[in-house]
Amino acid sequence: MPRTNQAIKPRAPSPAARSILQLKRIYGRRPLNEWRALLAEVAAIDRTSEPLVGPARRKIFGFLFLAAVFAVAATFFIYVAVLSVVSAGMAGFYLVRWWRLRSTDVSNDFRNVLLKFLRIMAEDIPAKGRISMLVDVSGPTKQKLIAEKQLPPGRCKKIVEKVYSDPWCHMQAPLSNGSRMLLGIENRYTVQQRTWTNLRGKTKAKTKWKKLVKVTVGLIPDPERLCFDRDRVARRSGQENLRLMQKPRGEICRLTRKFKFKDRQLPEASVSPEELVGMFFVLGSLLKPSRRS
Amino acid sequence: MRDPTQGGICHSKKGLLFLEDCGELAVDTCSLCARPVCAAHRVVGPEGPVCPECYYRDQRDASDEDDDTEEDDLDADTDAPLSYPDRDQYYDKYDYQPVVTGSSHYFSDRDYRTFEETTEAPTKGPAATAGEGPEDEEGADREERDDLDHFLES
Repeated sequence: MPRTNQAIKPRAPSPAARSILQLKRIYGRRPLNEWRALLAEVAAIDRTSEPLVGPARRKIFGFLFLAAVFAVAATFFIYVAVLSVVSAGMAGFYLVRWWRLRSTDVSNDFRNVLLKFLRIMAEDIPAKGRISMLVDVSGPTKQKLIAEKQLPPGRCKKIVEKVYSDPWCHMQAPLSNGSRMLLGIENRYTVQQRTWTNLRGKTKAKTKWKKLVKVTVGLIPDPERLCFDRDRVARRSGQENLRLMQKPRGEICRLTRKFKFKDRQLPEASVSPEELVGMFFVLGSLLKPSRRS
Repeated sequence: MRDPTQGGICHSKKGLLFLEDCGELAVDTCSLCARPVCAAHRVVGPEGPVCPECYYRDQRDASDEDDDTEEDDLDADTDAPLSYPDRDQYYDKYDYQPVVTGSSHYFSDRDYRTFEETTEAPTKGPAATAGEGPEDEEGADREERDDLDHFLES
């Protein structure tokens, strides 16, 4: 039997996955398994490309430095100019590589939160039920900048604060007992860039990131089977940001919680999928049967 | 002759937020609680074929003395559904009693809410029935989008 290397050949991304990587967002109605397969594919590509971005960037600067050194040396030995050109060429090669890797590098929240959450809830969502989902994986980009201001400098020379609003996940899914669940996650990034001059007269800069994750979950019970117990909701709303609303398609109870993360770089940490499950449990515990079957 | 699968439907529970009967074709019965189980929910233990509920309850009782809580492995690459011990851990962690639906009369210590008092069903508005048939696919899509927008805006 002829040997093939098909098993080890990396598979090209599907058109849908390629579309997510290009547009950095997707909206659609698909069954659970299709969503999970698609997001898992994008996650796998992201996981592969992510660790290569940093080294590629370092190599660009390394080869540029070498090209500069060889260019200076070429003023004494003309043949060294060849090495300078080669180094500049290598820097160009890694620049293209870095650019390509950057284009497939997406925000990690969708794989750390959404993909795991979908796995946990897989048995609650019917296989044929279609999930409406809008996922934005671009992270805090210039388009999402909502405020930029200079703060009073104090001891520093200059403090610039930028605020990005990134509502990256909107989801609505049917549940096997006829109810529907809603999930909205918004990341709000606040970045402060401080510049000051030290005693030696050098200008220093420091960046601080804050990430505020606002999670809103909602549950619309099937009115034939379940309804919210108003007494329980009233009791619980004293402790939580909980709201019961009447909508044309039934009553909906909404719970909002906020989670804070800080780092010197863009914070990778986010709300855990278990927290989301816990929030849905809060809403589930407020239900009561509306009619015994 | 007595049918060991009692009608041929698996009476094991599935789900997390809401528990419901599995409903798949049963292939065996649990040797401890006698509930019919499908191939997916049949666990072969030392007592013979058992349902996941009985199997993991025994496991939990046995490991209570060790009290070793394993880290939840939520590897996104795996397609395996949430296992019974994972589910149990979530219920313990958040002190949650799931709403149980289904006709199965096999109950566990998680099924208290099955016996909650009921109230009159609220009157179902005209929009509440929309989107149930495949012919209403477009309407359902639009309404779901509206719901999602209202939910997020509010």
